[in-house]
Amino acid sequence: MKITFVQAVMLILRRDLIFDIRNRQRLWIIFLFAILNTFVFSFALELQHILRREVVVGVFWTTILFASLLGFERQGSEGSRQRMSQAIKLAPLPRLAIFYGQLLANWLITLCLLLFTVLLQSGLFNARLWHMDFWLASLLGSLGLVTIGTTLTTMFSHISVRVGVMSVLLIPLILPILLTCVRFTLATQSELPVRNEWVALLVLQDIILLILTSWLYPHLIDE
Amino acid sequence: MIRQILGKGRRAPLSVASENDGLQEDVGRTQPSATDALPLIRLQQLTKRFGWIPALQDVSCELHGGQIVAILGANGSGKSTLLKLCAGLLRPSEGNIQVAGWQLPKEAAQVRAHIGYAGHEIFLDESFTIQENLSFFAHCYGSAGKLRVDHSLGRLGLAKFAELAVRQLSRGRQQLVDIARATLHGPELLLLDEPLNHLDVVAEDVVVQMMKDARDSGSLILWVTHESSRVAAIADRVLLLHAGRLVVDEAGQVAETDWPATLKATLCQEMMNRSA
Repeated sequence: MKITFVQAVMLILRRDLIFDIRNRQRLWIIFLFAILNTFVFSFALELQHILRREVVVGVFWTTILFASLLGFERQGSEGSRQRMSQAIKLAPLPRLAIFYGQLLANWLITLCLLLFTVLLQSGLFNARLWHMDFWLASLLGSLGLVTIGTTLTTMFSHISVRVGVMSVLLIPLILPILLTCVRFTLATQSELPVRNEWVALLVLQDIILLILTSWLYPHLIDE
Repeated sequence: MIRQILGKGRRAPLSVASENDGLQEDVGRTQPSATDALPLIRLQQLTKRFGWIPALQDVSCELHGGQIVAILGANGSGKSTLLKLCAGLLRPSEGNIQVAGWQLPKEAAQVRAHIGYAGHEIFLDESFTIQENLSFFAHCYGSAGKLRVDHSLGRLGLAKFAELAVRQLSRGRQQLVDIARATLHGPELLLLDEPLNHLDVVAEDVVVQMMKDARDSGSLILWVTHESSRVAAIADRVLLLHAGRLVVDEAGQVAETDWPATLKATLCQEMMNRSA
């Protein structure tokens, strides 16, 4: 009875989510960072409402980027998760199913972080964050972020200098998608209609990242 | 239940355990003879280096199913590296590894379902219960079924601890659960790296019996150990590694003469015990 690709993805996704919920350390780190970052910026930027709306985009994506980076670094350094990953490597599961399972688990956690941050910042910054276009930008941007993050976590899972290396590599790699997200979400804060080019650019970047990482991941996991 | 790996005639036979044969996994397997079957493992001039440091050098041998092969050697002699290479966890720097005719690591996907590996580290999630861990891996190997997990737990005397989290267990019990994980799918090639460490006498006997049962059902067990006293009683073949080189294979054919006197004495004693 061979396990199907979708079953394998769901198996890894379920395991990763249960692991994160039970161990909690990673979730604590990213949500605590989101709270602290939001409050620090909220007190630091005592600006007028109009200006706040524009600043909040930068604060929002800074919060998501660095909270996620902390989460990926924590994920890569968890001994129990790494040992389990070795056993999963030995199992006859399609490599891409392992990747997509981990990717989906990371994406779901990032989406929870997005929702949490939106709740915090929409109140404190009086910004228009409950906007359909804003959520579209967040979904597409976070997909790109976790695609790179999941790949780098696998790549550096056995390197002890991971903390520095992850930041050095992730930030330049995520920069194009991050800048697109910032411009897109900034456009959602104005009264003008959002141009479709931003959506197309984000979708294109996500597709390129998914294709590249899907090709790269099987090579990374096997040494 | 026997299945020939189809498509390429050179492949050695491997059986595939299914959900139904979970409780009678040893029944019906053919036992490959050392003379007429293709080797389950063929190592050809296998070399592994970590950076510039050679861990394994120029190792060649052929191993058949239905045997327990003990791998002896001092610390750092390359025993664990050899096992990880056979499991597909490491890539060789030079040379070839074939498992049932499939080249590793290039064709590893074809043989993963037939390999069980239990190493020094416990490959389990400590926050999951024993039952959850084993169920997860049973699903991974496509051999889902509570019966199979229960059978495995019962065989290793772990049934009453099934609902405990792995982190609540002693190191010895964690090791037993890891062995249960490695053997859950009834692998043809079982790679055990010092499986008797941390175990009490009763558990040692249980694991040894499990190894013998696996051998009798046609599996090949590569057993890395320092327990020379056990080797004589259990192993069908002995490989001795020294400084990454295979210095003695089976009947004591010495490939190099500069290996330490202590190892030589140990092996000679084992050989005498075996012949007696």
